[in-house]
Amino acid sequence: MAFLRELAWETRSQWRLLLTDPKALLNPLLFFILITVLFPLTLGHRPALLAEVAPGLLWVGVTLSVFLILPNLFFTDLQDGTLRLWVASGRALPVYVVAKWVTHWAFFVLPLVVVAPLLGQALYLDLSVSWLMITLLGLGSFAMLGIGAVGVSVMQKGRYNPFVLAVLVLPFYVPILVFGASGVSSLTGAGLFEHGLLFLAGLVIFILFLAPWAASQMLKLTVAQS
Amino acid sequence: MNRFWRWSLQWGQPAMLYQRLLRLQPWVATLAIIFLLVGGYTAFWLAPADYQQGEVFRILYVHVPAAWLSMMVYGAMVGLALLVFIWQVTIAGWAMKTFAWLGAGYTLIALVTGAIWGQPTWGTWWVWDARLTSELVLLFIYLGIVLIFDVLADARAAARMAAILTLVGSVNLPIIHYSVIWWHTLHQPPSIRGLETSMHWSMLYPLLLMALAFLLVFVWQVVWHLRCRVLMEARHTPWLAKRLRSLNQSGENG
Repeated sequence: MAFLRELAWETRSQWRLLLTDPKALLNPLLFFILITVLFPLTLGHRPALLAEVAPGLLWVGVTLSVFLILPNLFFTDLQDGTLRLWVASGRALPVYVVAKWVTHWAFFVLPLVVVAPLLGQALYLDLSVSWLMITLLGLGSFAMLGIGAVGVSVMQKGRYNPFVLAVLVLPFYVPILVFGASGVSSLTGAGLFEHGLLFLAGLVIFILFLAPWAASQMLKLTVAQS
Repeated sequence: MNRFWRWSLQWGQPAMLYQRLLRLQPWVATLAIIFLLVGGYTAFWLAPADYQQGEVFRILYVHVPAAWLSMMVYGAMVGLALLVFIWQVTIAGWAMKTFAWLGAGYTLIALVTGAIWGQPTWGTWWVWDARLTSELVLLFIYLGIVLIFDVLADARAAARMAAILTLVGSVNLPIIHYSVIWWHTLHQPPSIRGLETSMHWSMLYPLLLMALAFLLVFVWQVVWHLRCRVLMEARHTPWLAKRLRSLNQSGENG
C-alpha cells in the first residue's frame, strides 16, 4: 500500500513536470502524422490498397514515434543529476520508472492513439471500428514504451546510441506488432480480434512486472558508470 | 567446504581456469574432429536419399544441428546471466560475450542453410512463417547482446546489462519453441519431440552424430575464446608472468 501511495505521489509530480512544457506533445504527434502522410504519396492513390495496408502503416507509425519518445524518459534526469540522487537516496527505483512510463505514455503517446483513427479515415479505413483500434493501439503502445524504457536505460556516460537502441528494443516489439496489427486488420473482416486483444492485455501485465525491475537495474549500472 | 565445491569454485579463478582449459582443449578438439568426420560420412554417404526430396534433404544435417545449437546456446546464456547477475562471477561475463557471438553465428548458419533448403523444396528463399521469424528475432537479440558488450567500455557493467537483457529475452525462447504448435503455417512440425520421432533410424543416427559434432565444435570454440580472454585480462598478473618465464626457460633448454 505504501508502494502505491508513493507511486501516486511520484506520478503526480512527474505529470506536473511534463505540464510545464505542454507544447512538447506536438513533436511526436506531428512526426506521426507526417510519416503516415508519406505512405499515400509513395504508394499512390489507390483506395483499396491503402485500406488494406492501413492498420500496418498505423502500427509502424506508432512504433517509430514511440521509439523517438524513448530518449525523453531518462535522458534529462541523467544529465542534470536527478537520477543520481534517486539512486543515492535509496528510494525504490521501480516507482520512478513506472511513474515516468505512465506519465510519458499519457502525455506523448495517448494523443497519437487518439489521432490514429482519423488518420485511418484518411487511409480509407472504416471509422466504425475506431474504438477497438484505440484500445489495441493504446495497450500495444503502453507495452512498447515499457520495453523501450529497459532499452533506453543502457547508456554510457549519459550518451545513448539510437542505432544500438533500435537493435536492443525492436526485436521485443515483434509479438506486440504481430498480435496488434492482426487484431486491427481483422476488425474489418472476421477474425482473431479477441485473440489479439487478450494477448496484448496479457503482455501489458507481464511487462508491468518485468520492465520496472529490469529498467531500474540498468539505470543503477548506467548511473554508476557515468 | 567439501571437495566438490572447491572444484567448482576453482572454475571461477582465472589461473585455474586457464590450466583446465589448456588441458581440456586437445581432448575436445580431437573428439570434435572425429565426430565431424564420422557424422559427415554417415550423413552425406551412408544415409539414404529422401523419397520425396531426393539428395537435397541432406542439408538437414547442417541445418537442424545449427538450429538446435542456436537455441541451446541461449539457454546456456540464461544460466551464465544468472551467474553474472546473482553471484557476480566475472568469468561468466567473459563467457557470455563468447556465447553471444557464437550463438549469433549458429543462428545465421541455421537461417542461411534453411533458405538454401527452402529454395528447391518450398520454391522460395524466405517465408514469413512463425518459426523462421522467431529465429530471425533470436538473431537480433543475440546481436543486441553483442552490441552491449561492444558499446560499453566498462566490461563489468556491460556483462551485468547483458545479463539483464538475456533474462528479459529468455521469454522469447518458449515463444520460438511453441510457435510451431501455435501458428503452424508452412514449416513442418519438429520431427523429433522427446522420444517419439517420425524419422527412420537410418536417417536419424547421422543427425544425432552431427548434432553431437556441432556441440563439440562449439565447446572447442568456447574453450579457445575463453583461453584467449583469460590471457588478455591477466596479462599483468604474477601467475601469468611466472608461467611465461617457465615456458621461456623450457624453450631455451630444449
